[in-house]
Amino acid sequence: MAGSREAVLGALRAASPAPVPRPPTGRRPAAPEDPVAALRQAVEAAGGALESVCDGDLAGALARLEGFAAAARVWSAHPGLESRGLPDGPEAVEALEFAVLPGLLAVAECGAVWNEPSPADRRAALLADHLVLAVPEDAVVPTLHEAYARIRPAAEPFGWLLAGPSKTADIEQSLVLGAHGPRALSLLLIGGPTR
Amino acid sequence: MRVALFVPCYVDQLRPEVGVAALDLLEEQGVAVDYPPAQGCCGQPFLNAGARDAARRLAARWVHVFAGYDFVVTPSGSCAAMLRGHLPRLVETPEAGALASRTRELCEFLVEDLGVASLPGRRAGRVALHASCHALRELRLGSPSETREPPRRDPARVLLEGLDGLELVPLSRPDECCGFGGLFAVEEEAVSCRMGLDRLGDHRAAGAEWVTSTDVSCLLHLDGLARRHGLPLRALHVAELLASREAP
Amino acid sequence: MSHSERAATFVADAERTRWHDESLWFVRERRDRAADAVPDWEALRDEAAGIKRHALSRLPALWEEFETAARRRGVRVHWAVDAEEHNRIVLDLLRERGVGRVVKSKSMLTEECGLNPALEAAGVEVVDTDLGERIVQLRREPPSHIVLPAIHLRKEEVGELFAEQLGSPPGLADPTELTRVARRHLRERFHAAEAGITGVNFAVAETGGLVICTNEGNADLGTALPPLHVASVGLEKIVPRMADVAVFLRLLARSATGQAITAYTSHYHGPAAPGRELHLVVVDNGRSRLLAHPSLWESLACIRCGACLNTCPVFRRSGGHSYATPVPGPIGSVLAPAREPAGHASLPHACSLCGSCADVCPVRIPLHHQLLTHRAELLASGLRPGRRRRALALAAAVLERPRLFAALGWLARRVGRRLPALLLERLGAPWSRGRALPELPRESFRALHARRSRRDGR
Repeated sequence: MAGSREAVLGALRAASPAPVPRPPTGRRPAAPEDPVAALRQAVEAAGGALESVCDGDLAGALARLEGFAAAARVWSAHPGLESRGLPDGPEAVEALEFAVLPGLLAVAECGAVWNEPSPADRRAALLADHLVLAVPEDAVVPTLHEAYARIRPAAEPFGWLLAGPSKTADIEQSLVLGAHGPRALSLLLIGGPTR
Repeated sequence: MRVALFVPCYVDQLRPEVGVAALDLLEEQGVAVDYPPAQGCCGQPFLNAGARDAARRLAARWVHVFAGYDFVVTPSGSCAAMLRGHLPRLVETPEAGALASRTRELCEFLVEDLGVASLPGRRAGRVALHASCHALRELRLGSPSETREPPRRDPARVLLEGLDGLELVPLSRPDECCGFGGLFAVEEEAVSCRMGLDRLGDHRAAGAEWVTSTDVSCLLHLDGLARRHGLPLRALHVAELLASREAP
Repeated sequence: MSHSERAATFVADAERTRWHDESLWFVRERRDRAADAVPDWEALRDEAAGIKRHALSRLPALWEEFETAARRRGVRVHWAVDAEEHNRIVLDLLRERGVGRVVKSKSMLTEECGLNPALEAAGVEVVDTDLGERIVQLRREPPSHIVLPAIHLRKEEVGELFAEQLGSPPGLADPTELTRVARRHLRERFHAAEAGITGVNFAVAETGGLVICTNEGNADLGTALPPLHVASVGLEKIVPRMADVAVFLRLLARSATGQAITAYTSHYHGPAAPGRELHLVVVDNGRSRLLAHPSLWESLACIRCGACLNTCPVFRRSGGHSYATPVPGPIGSVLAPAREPAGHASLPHACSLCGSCADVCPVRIPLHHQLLTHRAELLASGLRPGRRRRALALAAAVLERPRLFAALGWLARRVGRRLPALLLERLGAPWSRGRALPELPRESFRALHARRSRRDGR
């Protein structure tokens, strides 16, 4: 197999076209007038919902989510919330009703949230019925360019951009939410304490 | 200004009235137009079929016939696209390059080079403009629906919109291909006909009586389908529509 | 069989053709609206096209940079010269760990390599987990589209399939209910799997990272649950920097489905925890040969968004299976004949040269011009039917002699106007099979013009 590495790289060296310089960026700065409104539109287009929580009251905002108060099993990776009702054992994260994860930032243009989950948090986020992402209100960036300037994807083994619930349109182009993972996604924009 | 009219081979033989209409429109603008009788095929069908040597020979011959003119004007978007886009790479002489850059589709010449904003007179009818893919996407006469480039005007549309009495109806797919495609029309006969019938369906849904275009080839295909299927749609080249208007 | 023969079979079902065309046009329109929402769309395309060409011009350096960074993070990098070696590497990895059940997320590369049959022949159960891919896998047929693998099927057909193979109630035809059936079925497979196989959207040289995009989250479930993750990547999928990914992500989903971004965009930098493994198989399989081509190398810039398929008026009316190649449509018609000219000689002719594909392509591959290049090379290498070559040579010989052309035209019009219509139609086939022949004029333009000049005294 070492032979294959050399064979492949050698073939590439022999085949490479003349060097092409990196292109200059011709992008125009695209800053939406109202980033939160743009974010809301993008999140909704992706099948999710956005709640602005101006008083920093995460628990209150969660309680307002349909089904949360009555939910038996809630997984929390958020420092401001305790998990509840988790059974032990390998099935720990099946039959989760909610998973709550913190997001580092949200991208207004596409509605995606950056998060670096532990392996267990990642499984919970994939297996829960309803995924909740809590992002600080001042961490909304206009486009992915600004997002990649702020995140450090290589700092952790795993990180992801999440936009809306799991979805498919593979049967006659009909959109179905919850193809494999969550059927619903709520993005909570948490503002600082106002009082 | 020395202007030559290039009448593509199939127009010469199958739709000569399009050449006559083009000549009328140019002369109406006071342009003295030459028709070099030695002219022949520009090589487009051969280029498209992959027969580059034949295309090169025909293109070189074409350059020889038209060299020296300030403009070569043709009532065919696809031949103009072949000459402007491919000729310089096919025939690598300065003469060919210069001639390529001075080749014009008819409406383009009228609007962009002569500055015609509208033509006087009246032409009644409900017309839909079928964009010639090569005029649109190779010559960029208009804005392709895929791109978000700054808008470009389509000279044929400018002239049709300026005609009194003519109702230009919009199509639901503004620049879908009609399915002619040169040899494609016979190599992929089934798909080609399906594409053409769908295109005519769009015209009928828009309520058009006439389908018009800057390309005779698209029109021969669409007209053949309309007649075979008994559809109440007739095909007229833009030049014919423009030249057949009533005096004001 | 040629593309046109397979396409004719598809087109013969007018209702399915209409529906297939409209479904894909609907996706194209969603893509248009998504592009409208990005003010710098064309500048983004320029930048993406430029970054890809830049990267393709220095692949050896980028892959070495990648390998160093990835190894540091615990990724095991393997190299495969061809499909067979790729399959052998994957199979060895599974065998060494005693893996018998695998879940796989969408990867056109593994389709190209024929990985599934190779694994199944070795007794490994491999389950495609993308819903569309699972549907076509259960039907034992290839995907018909690189983003929408089951776009050729009606919901009733999926209902029948699921009733037969997954035990769902017969007559089920609601996409939501059918998706739920698949979800339950696949959830079991995810839990039972011992390894997950995925493709890769972007390999990042700077960080040694992999970026994988899905909407369903199936690649994530397939890599989060089993301890072994094997990713396969084509040599062309590398970008220099992490920040470049932003450029491509802004284009990819918008071009593919009209979404702003896929639901999941996952970044892998090494195994997620101790005891877990991440292997990457870097595959050539003809790519270095394509890279050496003076113009077709640009097709390696493709990010597999599928926009050229959706916009192609021929694809929409002939269906993906008519191309008989893992990647169909305009980009497939460029890639397949480059890999194996003799087997795919008809594909470059399955194109009306409308050019919509090149204008929709987020990385500006001049697809229809590349098909022209293929046409020339196929003709020159004798891979086109002999009668075509002879007909072209004859036509050129006539057209190079305008007087002969004019004389033959005169004769044809004179005789043609006298022949019975039915005979003319026979002579005019295949043009006249579906179309009326043009009404032949009395005179050519050059004759009319000569008379007009005499009249005007010129």
